[in-house]
Amino acid sequence: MKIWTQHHAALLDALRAERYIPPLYRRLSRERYEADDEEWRRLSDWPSLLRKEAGWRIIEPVLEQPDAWPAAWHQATEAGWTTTAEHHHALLFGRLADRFIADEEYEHALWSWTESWRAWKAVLSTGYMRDLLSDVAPLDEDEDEEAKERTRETHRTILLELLDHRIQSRVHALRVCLSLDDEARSVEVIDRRGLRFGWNALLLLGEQLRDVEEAEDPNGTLRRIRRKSSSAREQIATEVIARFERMIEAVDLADAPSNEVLLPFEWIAEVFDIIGYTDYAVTTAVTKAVEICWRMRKMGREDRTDDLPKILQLITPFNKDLFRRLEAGTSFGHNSKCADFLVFQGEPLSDHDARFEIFSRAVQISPGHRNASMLLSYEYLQVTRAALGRAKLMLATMRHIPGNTKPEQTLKEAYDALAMARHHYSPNERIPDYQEQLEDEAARLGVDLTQWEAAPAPDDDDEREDRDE
Amino acid sequence: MSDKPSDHDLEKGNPFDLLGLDPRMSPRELTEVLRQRAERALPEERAQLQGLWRKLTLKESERIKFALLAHPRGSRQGAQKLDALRDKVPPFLSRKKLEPLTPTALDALVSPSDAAQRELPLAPPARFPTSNDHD
Repeated sequence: MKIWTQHHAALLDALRAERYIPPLYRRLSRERYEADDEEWRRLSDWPSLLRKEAGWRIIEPVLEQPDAWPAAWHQATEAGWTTTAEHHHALLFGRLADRFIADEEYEHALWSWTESWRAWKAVLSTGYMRDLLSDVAPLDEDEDEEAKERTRETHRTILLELLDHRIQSRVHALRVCLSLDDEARSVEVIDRRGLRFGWNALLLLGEQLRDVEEAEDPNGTLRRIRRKSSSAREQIATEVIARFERMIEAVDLADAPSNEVLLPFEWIAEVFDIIGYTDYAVTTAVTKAVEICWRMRKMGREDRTDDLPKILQLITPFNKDLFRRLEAGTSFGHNSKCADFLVFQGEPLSDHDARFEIFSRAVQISPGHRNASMLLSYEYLQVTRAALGRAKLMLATMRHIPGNTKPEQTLKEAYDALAMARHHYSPNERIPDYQEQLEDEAARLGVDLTQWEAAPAPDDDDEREDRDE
Repeated sequence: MSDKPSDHDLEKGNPFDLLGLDPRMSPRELTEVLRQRAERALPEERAQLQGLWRKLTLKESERIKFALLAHPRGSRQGAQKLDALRDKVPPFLSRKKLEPLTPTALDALVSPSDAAQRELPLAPPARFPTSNDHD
């Protein structure tokens, strides 16, 4: 008679499940949930498996110490789980994430989501799934190799669809958070927490799978999931922008109240503040803002309401991001819109330094931009005027003091600023007046202006861009 | 935040998990196991088993999905309740031959303590009640 039967083994497994499932489930659900009967059934073989794992020695002593978690779990994970254990973990954490999402416990949901995909990555990086599939649905040995490969591909597609379903669940939830699922629903109410979670979940998934190499992903499943997570984010961002554009088109600037005009901009500003800027988002938002600012100016709405500065304020982060992209060369083709925006921002400023800085940036990003160049030209005249003002306070006799270069330095400053004003906008009608004043002061202080004529011209001599606006 | 009907239905109502079955079982093995269970089941349980059997065997792609989303099993026995498992475990019989019982003088000298006596179901009372105790 056998002393140790399969029934003994099953009983021992069940006793271990009874002992270990409650604390494990409690700790891994971040002290939120208890394992119900269904979870017991699903996880019944898990504790016996875990006890053989390297990580068990780390978590077993702290099973009854909630404060030691999840650090202990991460430490145990670093020690490495077997693929079978990771299959348990992928499924368990997936369910926990769903439960946390339903309860709007997004911090824990994100942790469980990340743990689930970490475990899936571990599972899919080995031949475990291939072996499981060949056990679950053995290939017909009578078939030729081509037919077998088709069957294998069908099986891989089933697996991919199951995993993609999790991504599509997040996409669907994100669309609900943003009211994208219903065109009739106003976008005013954003589920910010849900949006932040859903977006970060997709973002983290992409990051988790970023470095997957072919060697650890021979069937390409992980890389396909990575692409799907990336395209899911692109899809949401594209839908947001499309909705934004439709909202703007629906606004009648002639008599729409301010809240209607501002709503699309408030919405897109809030959404992308949470999900992060994309090239398409910044170019569209800036382009639309500039277009609507011009229209408001032409219609005289700019004088009746303060919508224009509010739109500029809302879209400023987009333009800053666009500026960085253009400067870094990661974006192109929207330089003049970026400069337009800066000009709109700079126009109402009264401080010379601030105006000089913002128009310089506009010319820097869009060399020859007509309006920016003209406005910058006037700011250079301000510099000229200031230098001439200082020069006028100097006594003509100062030129006889040996070693005194102050008059010459001051006039050089005026000379250079005037040259820059001319460089940026030669038709500036104030230039001749300042030129005359400069020559008068040079004559009075005995400074020869021709000495600087041979100096190299400013290097910023790109062709000017013609603008009608 | 609402959620789309998803593969969670596959997970939640996963027959492999519900029945504690090994996902690697073939359709034929599944049919056999479920037939045996149905024979012992009550009528309403039988209907449920039939429903789960249909879910597992009608469409291979569905069975594969359920299998991939089922928790791995260490054995093909399936998860069972503790009481049922205890009943299946045969009584422990040691193969070691015990020494024959031989009375010694020590047995005569060592008698159970009072405490032990009280726990013995057939132990006599330490003292018999007097008539006053009855009053």
